[in-house]
Amino acid sequence: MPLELVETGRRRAATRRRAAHALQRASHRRRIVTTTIAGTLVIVGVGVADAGVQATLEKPSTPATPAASSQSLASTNALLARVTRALGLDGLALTRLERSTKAALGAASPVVPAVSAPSSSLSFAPVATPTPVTHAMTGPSGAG
Amino acid sequence: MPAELTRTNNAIAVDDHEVVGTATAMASPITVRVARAARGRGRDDVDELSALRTAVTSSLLTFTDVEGACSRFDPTSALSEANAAPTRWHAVPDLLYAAAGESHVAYRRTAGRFDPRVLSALVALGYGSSLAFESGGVTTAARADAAPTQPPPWRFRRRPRRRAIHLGGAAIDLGGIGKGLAVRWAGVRLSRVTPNFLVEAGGDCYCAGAAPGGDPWLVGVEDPARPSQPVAVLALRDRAVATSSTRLRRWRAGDEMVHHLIDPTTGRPGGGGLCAVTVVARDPAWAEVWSKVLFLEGPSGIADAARRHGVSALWIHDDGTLAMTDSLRPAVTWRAP
Repeated sequence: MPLELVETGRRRAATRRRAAHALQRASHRRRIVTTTIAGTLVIVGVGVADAGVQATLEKPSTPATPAASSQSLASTNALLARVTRALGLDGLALTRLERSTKAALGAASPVVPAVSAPSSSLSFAPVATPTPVTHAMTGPSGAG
Repeated sequence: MPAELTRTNNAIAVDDHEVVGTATAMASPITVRVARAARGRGRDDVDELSALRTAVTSSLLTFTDVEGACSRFDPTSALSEANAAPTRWHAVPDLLYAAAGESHVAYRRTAGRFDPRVLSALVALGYGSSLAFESGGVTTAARADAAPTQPPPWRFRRRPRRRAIHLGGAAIDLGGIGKGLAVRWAGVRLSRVTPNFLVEAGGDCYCAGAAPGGDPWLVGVEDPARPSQPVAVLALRDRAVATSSTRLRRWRAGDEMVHHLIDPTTGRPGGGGLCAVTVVARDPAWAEVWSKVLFLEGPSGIADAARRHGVSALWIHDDGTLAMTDSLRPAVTWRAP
């Protein structure tokens, strides 16, 4: 009886040791896996978040944006140059039209003097030009 | 239009830029030009045009009125009546009273170089009545050497209350200064309604303000050798211009060619070597006076006389050469080549 009791006791102790060991290994395994999963999740989450932040913050300063502005400015400048040239041509045409109109009126109507300038700014300059249209003529006076 | 404004045979033309009135008086064509203001003001425009037409007509009548009072060629004029009895007092119309007084002022201011009593010399040369100078070839029976010499100092007197004058014993001719005064008085009437007008009376002009378009009035100075062509063109604002010339009023008196610009100191035609003198001044009557006085200075003295009296003048010699004072040069915009 003592032997049997001893043997039984010994087997029970061995079982307890094996169970405890298994439990210990299982517990250790769970801690490692949980930590690994959590660490992986943290790394992946940080990466995703960082990518999102970069996508948001760095968009204005990406190389594509300055390129688009330069193109717009260049096209605006080209348009302004065309408008300026067109206005210049229009001004030239108006000047020519004004000159021709004045010349035509001066030749056709005594109302528009062919030669006129403020008396205060005139200088005596005899030149061989056509006889100007005058409003009046001074000559021999007296009466009778 | 008042009834008195229709009693003369004048004409008025209107366009978008000006109102132009024409008439004949004092043996000269008279032209009045008034620059119109900007159009498009409806009733105001109509009122303005009516006022301008009335002023132009009234200014033209000034010449008829002055002629009626101051002409020596009209035997019924107030001047002819006074000339017929120069040793007596005469109550005269206001126009003659003012014109005779102004001529006496000119006589004194020019130290007798302007003297309306040269009428006696003109009569002696056969210019006692109106002559057909425009047709040319005028000949009178008077002998040139019969012209009298200068009378003693002029004792002209006036009585303002009676509007009476005393000619001091000699008949007078107010032809030249009378026309200048008519231009002055016509301008006064026009200036009441507009600042921009031109009065032209056979060589005497007054240019007020600006021509239509705002430029100065352009007045041509007649070339004595080619009367239809200017020898120079003047741009004028608020200035009068008058010319004394022998181109028109010259005739044969006996054996000698004479003209109407008489030197009071000799009683003979003066200014030998000059054929025209044009003067620009503020007043048309004084432009007329100075043109005559400078003409009588002749080619050798005219420049010095003009400078001494501060007169702006242009003159043409018998050979066609042109000269002018420095003070006139700024007004010359064109000169014949």
